[in-house]
Amino acid sequence: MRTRAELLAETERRLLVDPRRQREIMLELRSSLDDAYEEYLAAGCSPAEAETLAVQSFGRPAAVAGALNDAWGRASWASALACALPHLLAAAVFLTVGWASPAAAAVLAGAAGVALLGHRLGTPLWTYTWAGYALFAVFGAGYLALRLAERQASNTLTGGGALSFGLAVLGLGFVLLAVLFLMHTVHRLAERDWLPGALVLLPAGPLLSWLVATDRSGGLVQLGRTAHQYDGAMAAALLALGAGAAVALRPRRRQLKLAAFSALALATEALVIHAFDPSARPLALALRTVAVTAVVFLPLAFVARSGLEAEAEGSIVGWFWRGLRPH
Amino acid sequence: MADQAELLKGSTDTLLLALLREEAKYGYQVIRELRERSDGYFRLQEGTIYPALHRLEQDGLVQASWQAMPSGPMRRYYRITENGIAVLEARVREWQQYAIAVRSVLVTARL
Repeated sequence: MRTRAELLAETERRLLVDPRRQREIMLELRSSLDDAYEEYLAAGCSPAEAETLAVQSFGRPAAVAGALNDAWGRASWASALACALPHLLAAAVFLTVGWASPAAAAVLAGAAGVALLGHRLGTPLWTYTWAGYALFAVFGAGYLALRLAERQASNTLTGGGALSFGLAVLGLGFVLLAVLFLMHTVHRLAERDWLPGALVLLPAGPLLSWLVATDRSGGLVQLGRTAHQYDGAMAAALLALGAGAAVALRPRRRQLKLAAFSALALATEALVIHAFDPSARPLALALRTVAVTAVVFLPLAFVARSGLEAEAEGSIVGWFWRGLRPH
Repeated sequence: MADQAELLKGSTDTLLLALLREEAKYGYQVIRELRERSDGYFRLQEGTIYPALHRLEQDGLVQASWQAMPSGPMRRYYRITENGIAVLEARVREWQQYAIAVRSVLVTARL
C-alpha cells in the first residue's frame, strides 16, 4: 500500500497543467489527504490504519490526475497554435526551399531552441511538439551520416576503405544512440502521461516513411539534388498534422483528444503512404498505415497503459479491454 | 454500487453547487458534509470531488480563493457565482420534475 506522500508524488507526476495551477492543486490535495488522515485518527484508528484508509479514500492517482487534466485540459487557441507551428514550418520548408537547404537545418535547430525555452518556462504542452522535431533531427542526421559513409565505403574499396569503415561505424553508433535517446525521452514522458509522448511522436510516422522513400530513390545520399518528388505530399501531410493537432488539443475530454490524435496519426500516415506509392491497393495501404502507426505508437501505449486504462474507464473501449485482461 | 455510481455521475455537480450555495466551503469540508447529510450514502473520494470542483471553477460556476486557517494550513475555499446559482436553480427544477415523474410511475408499479 502506498503512503500519502507516494500517492501525491504519483498524482503530481501525471498532472499536465501549468506550473502555477499544479502547485495549487498539489497543495489542495495534500491538505485534503491530511484532513482525511486526521479524521481517521480522531475516529480511533492507529496511524498505520489511518494512513491506509486515507490513501484508499483518495482514488487512483492516474484517474485523479486524468480528471484534473480534463478539468483544465482545454488548450487555448494560442497554445494549440504554438503546438501546430513546427508542423506548419516544416511543411513550409518542404513546400518552398526543400529539405536539403540550410533553411531546413535552421528550422530544426530553432526547434531545439524553442523546446529548451519551453523547458525553462515550466514545460507547457507546446514544448513537446518542438521537441519532437529536435529529436527527429538528431535521428535524421545520424541516418544521413550512416548512409553517406556507407556510400563512400562502397565507392572506395581501395585506399580510403579503412576511413570509410570508421565513418560507417560512427554513423551507425550515432543512429543507435539517437534511437536510444529518443526512446528514453518518450519513455520518461509516457510514464507521466500519453499526451506529451504523442505530441513528440506525431510527425515520426510520416517523417520515417519519407526518409525511407527518399533513401530508396537515391535522393538521400545525393543531398536532395534529385529527390524532391515527395516534398509536395510531405508538405500536405505536415499541414494536415499542424491543423489536426491544433483541433485535437481543443476538446476538454481526454478520450476525445485520444480519439482525435489516433485518427490524425492514421490519416496522415495513409496520406503519405498513398502519395509515395499510388499503386498500393486499399487493403495494402490500410495494412501498411496501421503497421507504421503501430510501430511508432505501440511502445508509447504500452508505457502509458495505466493512464490509458484510466481514460478508458466507463467507455466501450474500457469494457472491451477489461474483457481481454486476465482476471 | 455500480448503479449508485451511474446515478451519481449526472448529479455530482448539482450536489456540489447546492452545498456551496449555503456558504463558501473547502474541498474536504464538502466531502464530509455530503457524507454526513446523506447518512453515509454519498461517500465520495477526493479523486471525484476535486476534479468536479475544478471543472465547475473552469466553467465559471464557482470561484476559488485561498484562506489561511487559524490552526495553520491553507484551505482553498469555493464560492458559488451568479452563473452557478442560475445553473443550480435550473438543475433543481429539472430534477424536481424528473423525480415527480419517476415517483408517479414507481408508486403504481407492483414491487
